[in-house]
Amino acid sequence: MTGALFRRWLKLDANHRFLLLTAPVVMFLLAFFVVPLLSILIVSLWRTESYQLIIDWNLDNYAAVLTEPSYRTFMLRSLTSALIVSVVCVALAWPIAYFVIRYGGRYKLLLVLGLAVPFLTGIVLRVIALQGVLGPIGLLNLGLMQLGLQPVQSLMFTKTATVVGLIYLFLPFVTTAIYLSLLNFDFKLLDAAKVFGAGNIRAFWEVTWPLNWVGTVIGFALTFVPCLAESVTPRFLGGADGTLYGMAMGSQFSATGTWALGAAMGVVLFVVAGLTLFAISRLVDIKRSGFTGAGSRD
Amino acid sequence: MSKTLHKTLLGCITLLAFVFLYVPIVHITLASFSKDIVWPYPIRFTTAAYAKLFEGTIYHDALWNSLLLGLGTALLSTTLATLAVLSVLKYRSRWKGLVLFLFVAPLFVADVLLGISTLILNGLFLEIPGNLLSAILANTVRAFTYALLIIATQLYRYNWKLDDAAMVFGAGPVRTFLEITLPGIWPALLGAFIVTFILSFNNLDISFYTLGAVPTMPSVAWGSLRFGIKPELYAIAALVNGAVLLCLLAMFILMKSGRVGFGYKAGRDD
Amino acid sequence: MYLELTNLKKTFGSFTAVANVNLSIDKTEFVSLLGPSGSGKSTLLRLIAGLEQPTEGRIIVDGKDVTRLPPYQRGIAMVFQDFLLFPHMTVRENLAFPLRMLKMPAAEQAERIDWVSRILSLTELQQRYPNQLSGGQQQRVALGRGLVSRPKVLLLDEPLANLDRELRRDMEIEIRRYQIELGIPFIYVTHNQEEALSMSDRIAVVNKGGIEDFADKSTIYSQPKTSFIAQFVGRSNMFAGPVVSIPTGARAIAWQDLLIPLHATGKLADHTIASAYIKIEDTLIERDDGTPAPDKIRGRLRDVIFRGQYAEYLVRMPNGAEIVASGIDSATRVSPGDNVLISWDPQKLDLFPGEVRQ
Repeated sequence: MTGALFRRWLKLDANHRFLLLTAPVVMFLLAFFVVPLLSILIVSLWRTESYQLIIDWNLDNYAAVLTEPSYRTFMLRSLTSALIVSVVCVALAWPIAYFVIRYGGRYKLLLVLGLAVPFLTGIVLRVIALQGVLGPIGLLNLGLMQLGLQPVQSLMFTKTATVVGLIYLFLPFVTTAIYLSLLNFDFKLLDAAKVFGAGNIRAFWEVTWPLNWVGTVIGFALTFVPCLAESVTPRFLGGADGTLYGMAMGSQFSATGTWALGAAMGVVLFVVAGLTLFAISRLVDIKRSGFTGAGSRD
Repeated sequence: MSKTLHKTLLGCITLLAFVFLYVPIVHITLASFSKDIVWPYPIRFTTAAYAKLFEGTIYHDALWNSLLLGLGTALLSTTLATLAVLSVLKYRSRWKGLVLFLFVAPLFVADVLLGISTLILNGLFLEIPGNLLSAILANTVRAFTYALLIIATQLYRYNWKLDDAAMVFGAGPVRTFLEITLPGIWPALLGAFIVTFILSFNNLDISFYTLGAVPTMPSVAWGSLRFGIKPELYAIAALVNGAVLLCLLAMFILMKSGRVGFGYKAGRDD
Repeated sequence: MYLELTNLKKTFGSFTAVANVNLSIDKTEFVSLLGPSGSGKSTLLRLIAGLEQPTEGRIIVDGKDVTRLPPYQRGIAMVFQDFLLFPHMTVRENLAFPLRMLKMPAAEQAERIDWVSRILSLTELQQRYPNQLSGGQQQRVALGRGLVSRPKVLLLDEPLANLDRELRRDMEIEIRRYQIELGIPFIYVTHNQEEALSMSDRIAVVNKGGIEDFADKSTIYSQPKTSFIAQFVGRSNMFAGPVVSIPTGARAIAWQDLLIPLHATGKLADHTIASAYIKIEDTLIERDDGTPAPDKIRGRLRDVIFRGQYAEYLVRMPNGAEIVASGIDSATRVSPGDNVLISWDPQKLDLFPGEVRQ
């Protein structure tokens, strides 16, 4: 039985084998990823009236999303905070990942997994933990009071708190991305740079940075996209004027029942994220990424 | 000259990052065992929070649902990702670029969007109320990509000629997979399984929109968080953090010892 | 001397990688550091380059003490074993890198790159990336990057190890030519004695972190100073055993159940252990026609291995040991299974006291 199947398998060329083996995965993603996304697109072109969805093709939802000043504010706010969070995360993740790779020795793996723990515990638990530290009667403020100092009033419920919270959430992730990139980087290239006259800093900017640029950009994108859509962290850390786009979008589905508008917001979010990714990808010249750099293979 | 300085500086940043990441976790863990959760120092030990946690039936259901969700997602996404990685690494195809694009695309679509898109499809078009199965399927879309990356980074150095060798020596394709391929790659699969399990167990954004009224640990925690911090929440967080730490410790031990030589040993026994 | 290493020492923890090395190299010399892997020759090269700091000792280049200088201030260039071309730069950018670091004016940079591209035939490849080049082409770019700044010294760390045999032979000739043209010392690390013998003026044989001998290549080859060199350089038959007196009044080494007569016994006393080496090309073979030949060893030809210009004759002794001979009179014809006689000029036998290190 398997013998006969196997003989037929052997007759297939690589292309067909590939298509046959990936078919289940492709079908799965089409059914549970692409089709749902398409359904958002369709619903966004309909309209909602008192919790009822009415099939009536129009662009009013988009007009609302794009012209309503509050949505624009939310989007701008989300973009700014996502940008700040991603940049700070990359700036912090680089020295951490570099330290672990170069000086981690046999604790390398332990350090990396240690960084992953906070990422894996999920958003809610981490928000709880952050509230315990940053809250009005959290560790930080009470600690200051124990030392006889004034508590900081504006720790929680500010935009800064949201940004700190998001950095807390995504730092492990970016660090892992840059760590993986550095793991595949041939540090002997730095020897070559130094022998040919580059100092430590020069060698970093001439060799290490460009060759890990792709990993850095991926880490950036993987923080930026979810930050843009983030809704839980700002709700609990952001305070009254800290509403972000993701929160506003979520409430269309839970509080107000305006699904069609929410769907349009979702499409806009998708497009904004897509445009950002496209812009970011323009920063990458794959030929200069050293991806198949024959000089750097073990 | 500056090498020690350089090392110290980087080491300090790393140390600070670990402090930043772990202080909240350690703090709430200590607080969960303390009579006074607001300022628990010095600790007056009590397990009251945990007792309360185990009394509530809502937490039982939530835990059970989360476990099912995590296991289902981990199993499905690891299987799909293994299939995907094997075919991408082993076979050439002119469709590879497109297929790969589809594979990694979920990584760049936010959780909320995955959640609401499934909600819309199920709720409006298929008229299926929120349920555990659709939560598993939606979580699998996200978890699949993570599993794919984990398995791919581990396997891209795997020597596929070993499979050819096994077939030359008379092993059929099933036998080859079970006796040659699997022993070589199982640590990667287990790693992907653990990570996807933990991620979907703790997921809120996707699960929230796809589960309907079915409670899970994160959704229950989220629900009660709206009414302020309670000792049980600290207890949940401490337990989950502890469990994650244990899982990663297990992974660490496996990666250190299990990966080395396992594949070869199986070969020698034959 | 142009390049001087004085009492150079490098330890990693309790491991001594380089132990008290003294070397003086002239400005126009091609010097090879020849040794087995793990002998410390690459560490020695990295010390000269400045990629490692010596534990003790001094390095002087062109009259200037560079011991404490970082690699980028030494004016030394290097060709690495796995080339280490910058994968994100084109060939031209790779060649320009050392010049940019020197802040050379653009016009002069272009001139230098054109010059080095011309002598290494890289002109056509300038816009390619390293991963679009063959191994030989990458090798030439790596060499070009080493030469383009006209360094004070060029260090080469097994640059030909990753190339196939034929390409290697061509490159050996080329590399030697550039060294003569530029008139700077090349220090060439290799474990391949053929490379060292074909290119160098002088060879330093490195073993266990120290220099066994530093001499011109013919001396290294034909008058090995230590038993290690005798084993490592060239191909030799080895006879080890106790020294005994024989009836003729001379001495011999009792090897298996044969006596190997010695020409000069030096200070070797009876019953001390010694080892003697004879190069295979000095080991003569002839057909055994039954006439008595007391100075020759009898054996049976087991196999002949043709190596192109010469052949190796594997001869099995009655005691089961095997000797390789490749010195043969062109008129002689022997084939496997024949009885043969083995002999050599006792003066060509290299004799060393002591136990044999295998």
